[in-house]
Amino acid sequence: MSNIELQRILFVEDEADIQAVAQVALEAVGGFTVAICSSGEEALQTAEAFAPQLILSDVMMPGMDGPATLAALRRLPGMADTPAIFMTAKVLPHEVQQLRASGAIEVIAKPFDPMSLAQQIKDIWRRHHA
Amino acid sequence: MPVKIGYPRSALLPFAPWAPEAGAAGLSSAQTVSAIALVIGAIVVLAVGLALHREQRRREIAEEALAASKIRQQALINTMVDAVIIIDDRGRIQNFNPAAEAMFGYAREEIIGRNIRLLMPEPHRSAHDGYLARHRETGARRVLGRRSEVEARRRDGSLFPVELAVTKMKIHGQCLFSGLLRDITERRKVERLKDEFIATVSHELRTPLTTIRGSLGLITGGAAGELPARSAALVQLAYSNSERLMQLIDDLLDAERLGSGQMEFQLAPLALMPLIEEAIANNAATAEKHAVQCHFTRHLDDVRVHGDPQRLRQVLGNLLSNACKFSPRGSTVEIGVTRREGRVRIDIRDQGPGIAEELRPRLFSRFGQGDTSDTRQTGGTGLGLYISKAIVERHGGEIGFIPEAETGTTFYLELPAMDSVTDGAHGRPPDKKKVQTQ
Repeated sequence: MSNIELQRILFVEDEADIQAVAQVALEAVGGFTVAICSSGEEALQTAEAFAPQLILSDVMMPGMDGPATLAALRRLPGMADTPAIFMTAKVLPHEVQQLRASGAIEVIAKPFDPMSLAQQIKDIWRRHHA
Repeated sequence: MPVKIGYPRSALLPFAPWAPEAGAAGLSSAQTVSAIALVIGAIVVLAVGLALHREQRRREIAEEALAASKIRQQALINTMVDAVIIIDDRGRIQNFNPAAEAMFGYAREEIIGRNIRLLMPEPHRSAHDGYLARHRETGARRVLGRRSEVEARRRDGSLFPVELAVTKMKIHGQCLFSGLLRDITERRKVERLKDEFIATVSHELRTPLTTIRGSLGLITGGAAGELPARSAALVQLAYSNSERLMQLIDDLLDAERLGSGQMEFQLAPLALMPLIEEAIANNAATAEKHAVQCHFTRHLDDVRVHGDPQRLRQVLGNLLSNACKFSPRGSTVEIGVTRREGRVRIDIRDQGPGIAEELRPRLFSRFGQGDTSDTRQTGGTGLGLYISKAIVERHGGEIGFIPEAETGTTFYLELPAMDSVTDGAHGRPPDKKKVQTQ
């Protein structure tokens, strides 16, 4: 498992500006292939065809929030075990614990550093598969 | 020796109308004794009368004074902005001032003698007689002798928050309780507004700033290609200032959370040295920018504290970055770790200009940093030391500084050290739990 290289990331974020910054951070800096979705609903439509190796999702979104989106994604074929990372500004210890309990392998604090975001994700990926 | 009491006869005359006759005819000794007894009796009666009169007058004066004092006291109670309610030890209302009338909607005449529980919502409404009985029996205190915030109930049944201070007094063997109540509806409203404002600052200000900083970070990091040197310098300037603005917002939020007791601490046993080393590594960019070296003068392995790693890193980072910012270029910041009497101490010594005398008393207060020109030069928010102090105190520790005689300052941080024997076998289990993930 440990030598699987991370390529495809499904990124769910409702804010267009953050989408743009993260896209550069993930594609240009990290070299990943990224599918960007603006809502949980859009993620559900995109996910099956895109077959992501990792789900990277915002938490607070209109409509389905991050944990609800993750729960719905997990019910799709082949997505039951896809690792997920939440990105949120709410990083109080109990909030992080709740997000982990809802199925995330890690929580990345917002605001994130775009230059190190890709490396941060690679480190989490490596730890998860170690 | 007809008169033995030493007065000349003439002196007795006004009090003894029979005396001329007696003087003329001569008195038998029996008559003389009767006369003297009468005189003495009269004097005694007069003296007693006088004494009684004086006593009566004294009493009247005392009563007048008491009445005046009561009037003054009642006037004071009546003009108080806060509600004053006095009850006896059975809860019966003895006094109810106009502020209380306005606050609760009851007239004084209709509420005097009724039970105070009338002014309380459940569950206290049913339980209050029990509180009083328990206090009579065991001396147990619930609200006595301290300020508390409770809910009160108006005549129309509506509830409102009050700040309550209750004192006990004993008058002629009878226990009375005096309650001072302040309606804090407005204060609560302001607190709510403040919370909302902070939530807004936290979200609405940070969100666009995140994008600005992120974009600038990507450009300065070369993710969007090479920039001409002049543009690169300007973008770098914009980037470092966006970082500073973000730090200011974070500090303001932290200060607010600490002030309102909303900052969460996740305490766990921690190895201290790796934490310090990590803080030094995190501060490397600042040290480099100011051309300052950080190195250990005293090292202490295997020392552990019970702390929140993120928050302690924040404190160490703050002290280290201050030390670097105020150090002359090319100088060294020395870090020493020592242990004494169950406490571990971290000293961070700089060779900066020292702290001005007038600044010292308020260095750890909000916005306690030096003059504004200095703040601009060094780029601080003036909240760092205030936040650090609050964090350290929440760890049962202490933070302070020692001004050096010549130049420089040593900031120190003391924390309770964990005992290496107890924390292995009997120590507190770590609060931090790893949640299993699939």
